[in-house]
Amino acid sequence: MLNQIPTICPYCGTGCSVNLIVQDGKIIGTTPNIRSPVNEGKLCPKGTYCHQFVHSMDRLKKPLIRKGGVFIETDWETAYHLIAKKLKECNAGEVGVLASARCSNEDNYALMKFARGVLKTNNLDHCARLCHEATMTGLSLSFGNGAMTNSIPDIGKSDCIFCLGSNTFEQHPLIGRQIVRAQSSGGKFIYADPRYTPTAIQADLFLQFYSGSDVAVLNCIMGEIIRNGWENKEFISLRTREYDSLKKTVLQTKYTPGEVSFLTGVSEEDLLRAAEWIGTADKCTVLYAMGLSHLSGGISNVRAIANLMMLTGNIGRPGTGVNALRGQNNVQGACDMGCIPNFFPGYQPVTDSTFHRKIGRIWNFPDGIAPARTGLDINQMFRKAGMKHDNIKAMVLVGENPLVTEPDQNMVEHAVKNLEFLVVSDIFFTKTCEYAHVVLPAACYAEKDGTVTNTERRVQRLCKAVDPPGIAKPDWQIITELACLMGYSDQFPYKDPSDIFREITTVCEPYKGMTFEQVSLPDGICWPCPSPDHPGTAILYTDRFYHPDGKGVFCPVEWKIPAELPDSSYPFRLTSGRVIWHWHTGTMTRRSKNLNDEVQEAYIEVHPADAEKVRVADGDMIRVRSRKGQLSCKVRIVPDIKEGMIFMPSLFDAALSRLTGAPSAGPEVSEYRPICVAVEPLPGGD
Amino acid sequence: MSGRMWYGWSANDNIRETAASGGLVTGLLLSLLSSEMVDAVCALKRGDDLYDPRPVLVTSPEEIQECAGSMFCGSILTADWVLGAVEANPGIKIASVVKGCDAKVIYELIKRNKLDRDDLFLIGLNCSGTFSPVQTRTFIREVCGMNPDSVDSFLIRDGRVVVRSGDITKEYPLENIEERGFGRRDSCRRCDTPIPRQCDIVCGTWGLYGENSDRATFVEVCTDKGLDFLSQAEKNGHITLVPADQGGVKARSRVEAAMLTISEKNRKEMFAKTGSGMERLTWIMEETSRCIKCYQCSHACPLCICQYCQTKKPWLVKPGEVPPPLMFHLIRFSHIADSCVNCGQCEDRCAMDIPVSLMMHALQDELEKMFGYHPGRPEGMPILAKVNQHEEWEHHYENSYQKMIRLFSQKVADTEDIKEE
Repeated sequence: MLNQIPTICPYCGTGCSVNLIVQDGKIIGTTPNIRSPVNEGKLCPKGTYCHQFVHSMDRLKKPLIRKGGVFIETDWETAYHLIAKKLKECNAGEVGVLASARCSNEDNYALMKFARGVLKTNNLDHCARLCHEATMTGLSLSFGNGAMTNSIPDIGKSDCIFCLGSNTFEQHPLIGRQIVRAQSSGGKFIYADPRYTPTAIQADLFLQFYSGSDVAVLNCIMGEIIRNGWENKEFISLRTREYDSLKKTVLQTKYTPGEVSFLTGVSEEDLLRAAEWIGTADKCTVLYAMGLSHLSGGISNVRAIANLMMLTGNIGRPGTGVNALRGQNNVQGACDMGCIPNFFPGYQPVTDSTFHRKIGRIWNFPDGIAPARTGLDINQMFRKAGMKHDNIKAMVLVGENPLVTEPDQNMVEHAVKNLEFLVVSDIFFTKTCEYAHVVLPAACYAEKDGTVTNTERRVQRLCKAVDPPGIAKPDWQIITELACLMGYSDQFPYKDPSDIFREITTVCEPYKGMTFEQVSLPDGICWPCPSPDHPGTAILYTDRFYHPDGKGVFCPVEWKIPAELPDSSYPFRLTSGRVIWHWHTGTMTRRSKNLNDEVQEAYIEVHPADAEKVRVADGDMIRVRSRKGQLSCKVRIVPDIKEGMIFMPSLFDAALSRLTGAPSAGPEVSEYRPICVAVEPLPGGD
Repeated sequence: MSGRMWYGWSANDNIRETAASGGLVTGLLLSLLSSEMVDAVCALKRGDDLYDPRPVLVTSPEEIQECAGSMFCGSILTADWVLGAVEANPGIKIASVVKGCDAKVIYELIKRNKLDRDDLFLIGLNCSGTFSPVQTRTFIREVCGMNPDSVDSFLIRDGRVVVRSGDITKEYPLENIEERGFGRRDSCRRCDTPIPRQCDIVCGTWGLYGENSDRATFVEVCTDKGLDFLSQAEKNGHITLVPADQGGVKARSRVEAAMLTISEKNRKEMFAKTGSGMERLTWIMEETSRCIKCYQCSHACPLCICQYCQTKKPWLVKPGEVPPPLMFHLIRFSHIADSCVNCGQCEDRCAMDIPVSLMMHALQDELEKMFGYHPGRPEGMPILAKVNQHEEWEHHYENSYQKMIRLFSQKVADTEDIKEE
């Protein structure tokens, strides 16, 4: 008989609620959940077809171990024993663990506890490093916390929405709907992007700039706001500090509209109009995503945005705030759960000895936990794994496919080949699995219970609709069973995800007042939720920032010339982004028929004038070269893009990462864009 | 028994107290299932809370009580579930509790040979409209000043919205809250079928007064089958019936007339906004420029049931484009508009709040005047446009189907050859 199970969509960070229609143990369709405050009974194409990959024939069904160079199927006992034996051979500095922003909070918490308690290492990270690390760092420095400040329904109440570095209508369509709602009640929408995207079509003011010049635009707008006296003086004096240094920076001649217009390709009038709209709006909000944080100047970009919102007093009220749109269904949760090398759950530094002792006491491992020292991040782990001596010998990957997602594919390939032991847990046999020694079959979102935390900090309930294929298991259960086998059954007594959630509320401060029953209700709960009778917090910083003195900190940032500028050998700037049909590496969406029917191969968008220069026609195969590598691809000639720029969707196995590279220095955010490339027709390409 | 208008309630005291309006519908469903007159019942039950209706297919009498109580939030189309159940279990006999839009959809599906009227027992409900769950919660929080989670009932009575929480009852005239943007769904505001007489019987509160008002249901019998089932249920001891008095019958027609007048006015106002000719086309193009091609309108539409959808033919709608070309919407209009029953599901589910249902309904209204086809009603002519059926194409345009496909798949320059052929 037909049955409908409400759960959370497995794709972007919006966290839409979707009903899976189940008949005889198979999911046959979806309907949107009308009761959800996030999507109010509406879904995007990915959400509509989010059930289509679940019953794919090629799901991993049994554990695989590599024997004599080939994979053979085995049972859980054999796999667990092999993993336990190999991991015990390594010391704490020789292992690395990658968690996943696509798994539940319970999966991530169990894995975090496994890394810190069983393996005694802080070498623990996940792919948020590659996208929103800049948001976490930048916003923490400005406000004291790194999360989105307002809630999704709140965006629709704004008078003026400024969106940059995000193609919201394609990447977070149900947040795009809030822009429509704001506009229908008279709000204005300003959009800055190098491309005329579906989001740009709806803009009241479109600033088409060269990617990488965000800080210049933001400083220019701030300068104009101050020159016209539109800044919120009361907010600045009561709730912020370091205003003078900001004023000095943004009022420099180089940030006057004339100069910035020349630099960014946006007309002076438009810059002035943007400043006026933002400066005079009662409630203004900023939406941004990876277009801003996904590159090496990311932290500066994020701080510049924080500056703008503090300058105009647009923090802590409905319809205002800095809204960082997270890209994955549980990237917020994975960070909250402490799957990062420097923080315990709830963003308590691992180096804080008081908290370190507290966690040690709660967990009660007989042989202690990882030392109070920051571990290696994802880039450092792979770099160290590739070394000859003193290297990382074993890695445990849960739901990550770094061979495709890491910016420098060559480096990662070298690293994983160099590993003595690699365990990968995933739902499909990904490219990274090819290099693994043990592959574990995991349950997907529709096959497990648990909780996920969306971009607006709302903790919501995942509900099991069907059984996993074969003998696949949810990740929390795999980790729990493995920990028990390694002798820590007292520390991992979990029988159900609700047991883990109960422990999370004792360790993770923002989740303190939540119960599994409460987050199972359709509204979920936004953290921080300090006590059981607390309704959750939809808007952060209503009366104070999270710095000890309660004030927000202005931090002037200077625009820096992008690391790469076009020259005669690499004349085009390459930018990347998502398309609405696919998600990340496409492991799930490319197995969904209706999505794959829309777009099934990678392509590169080129402006007609540029196409003429390099002599290519629509549909031709072209070769794209960067300083790091090259690829060939089909070309689409579209007038929507700025001349001198080319665009490629950041999906499809390992295409883009051949062109991009790892950051040049330090544990910085990885550089995905903008990079410079050359384009040439591919001879003999049909 | 031979009358057409009755007051009724459940003969079981427990059900009479717990279900809405004396529990007549619950008692009737119990009778249908326990006497095996139907195999399954399709109804709504309460999900997580008052604002969360969920469709269920019930096969055992024990589960029926879970569906007791009325729900005014969220318009779930039960017709979809009836069709799903019939397709999965051909020949199944189903009783369904339906609103006006459900009933009209079911008739459109019967005309399309997807459902068999003889296998269905339709219990209609008087319906003055439904509300968006999330907006209703905001309304209760912001306008009523109440906690939505502690509200006991939220309903429409005599043109007023009534919210009850413990001892507190607050009432608001419908027009007032509609002006504030918290009103019924737009489609409900245009509805012309508050009493779905296509059904076997229609139940509701209109026509109740005095001591009956909270403890009984007004039943109007519309078919002989309805009368049989009703008297059967009374004989089995599931329900109690007394003939309705003239005062009740008159009150009922007054409410119906009032509802129809409001809808008529709303229809005129809303259709006027869509303009005509180029103006309307421009408006449609502007609104649909937000479309993200999520296909929810198509999935939600109970009549959008072609096996091979024309919008997926690359020569008509180029795949992978957002927003999709206007042709996408034109195909939907040309396939559905003649039969659109204004259920509003497409608009409810539109991720970008495009007024798709208004567009479709405005077109339908004009087509009805031109061709005289009445969607959702049993009487009158059979369906006019069986779009996308090969036989129909052959009937109108002879053996030119393949030629047409070639025309669309070739470049413009080549079309000359085809003409010459």
